[in-house]
Amino acid sequence: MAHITANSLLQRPSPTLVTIPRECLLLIVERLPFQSLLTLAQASRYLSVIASEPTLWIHLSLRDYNHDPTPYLSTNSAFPFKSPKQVYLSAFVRWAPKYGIWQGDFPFYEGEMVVVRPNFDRGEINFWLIRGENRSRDDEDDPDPEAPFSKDRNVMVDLFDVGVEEDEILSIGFGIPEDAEQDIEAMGYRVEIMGPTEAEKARMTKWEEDKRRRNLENKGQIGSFFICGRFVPPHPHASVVTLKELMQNTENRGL
Amino acid sequence: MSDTLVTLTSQEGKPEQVPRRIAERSTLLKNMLEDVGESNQPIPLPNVSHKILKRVLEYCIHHKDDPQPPSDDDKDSFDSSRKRSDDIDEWDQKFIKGKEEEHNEELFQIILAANYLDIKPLLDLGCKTVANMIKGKSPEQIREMFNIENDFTPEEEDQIRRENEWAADA
Repeated sequence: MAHITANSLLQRPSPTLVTIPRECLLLIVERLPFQSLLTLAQASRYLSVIASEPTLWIHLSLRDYNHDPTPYLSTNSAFPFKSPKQVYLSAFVRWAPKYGIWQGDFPFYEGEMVVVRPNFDRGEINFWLIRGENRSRDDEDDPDPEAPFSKDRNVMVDLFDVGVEEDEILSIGFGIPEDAEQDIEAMGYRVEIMGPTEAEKARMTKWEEDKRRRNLENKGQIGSFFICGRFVPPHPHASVVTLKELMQNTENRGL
Repeated sequence: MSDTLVTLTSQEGKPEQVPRRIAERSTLLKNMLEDVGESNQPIPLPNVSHKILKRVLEYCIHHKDDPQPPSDDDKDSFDSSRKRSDDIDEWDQKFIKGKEEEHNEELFQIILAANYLDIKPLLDLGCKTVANMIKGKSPEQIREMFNIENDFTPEEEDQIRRENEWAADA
């Protein structure tokens, strides 16, 4: 054991935030909310390096959103993000709390199930309308040869054939604006809202017709299941947001 | 057996006797004592000053009956316990505050000692406390509080500010 004189040690300057070992500093900063990390980065060069550590932002993504940012990096997907920090700030803060299943309350989607999830191949966050359909129903207009039993009202055992349909209703794209190319670290992003496609317009018309028919015949739902109750999003801090609020928010920001 | 006394020697060479049970709050010392077995040899701690050693032992004595923190394999439970930095026990809060005038200096020394001695809950407490000090402060306030020199050129400072701007509209 090397002998160290007390004097030489006592003269050592006392440790501070920027002189403690890097691993201790990382233990401190990983407990900060992301806003504090952004401020901390502006205090000095060393702190700006620490506060941009990829591992730190991976930790934050898992801590705050329970999502790994790695699959979103431009090297692994069509998303334009260069660092876990960009993924966190551009994609997760706004959109990760909305991942999951929602109940739409926007005209034409009212009461229906909407699934929000990232699409790595396209670099977008997609909103899908999920519809379950009882194909075995007894419907003159829509005979289903696959469901012979249910056609016969005298047969008690009904074949319950459920089909699931997915329709894309909204997609959020992220792009680094061209004029900011040198400033690639800039967190600029834009949101693209795709208008309804021809198929969707047709579906909307059908939805209105269905609704009218439902009221006339007073027969309850025709064709599709209606989802009752609210769906709890997977992220514990996420508020229950409806598609309507979501669309309004996006418009208000002028993005 | 756990009532045997262990001698720890601080940086200044001053010995400090503690029951083995208290010393074992430190994973480093626990492993050391297990490896060495029965021995009266003092354990030198050249990285810890006597003053800080006393403070660390004060913490260990108060927490002597706490369950041992989960090991690294049991990462999940540990991670969730240190996720938040606002849930500090009252005694701990008072302890870590120490004397006002030397708070800052001592705080980092305690963090270093806890890191060296491997006392996870104390390291945790120290890190949480510093994190709480940083929260909600401006870059200028952070520099002032921790005596940090602003080494950015005006252009760099401008750029770094733009990169880290966060519009709180969400």
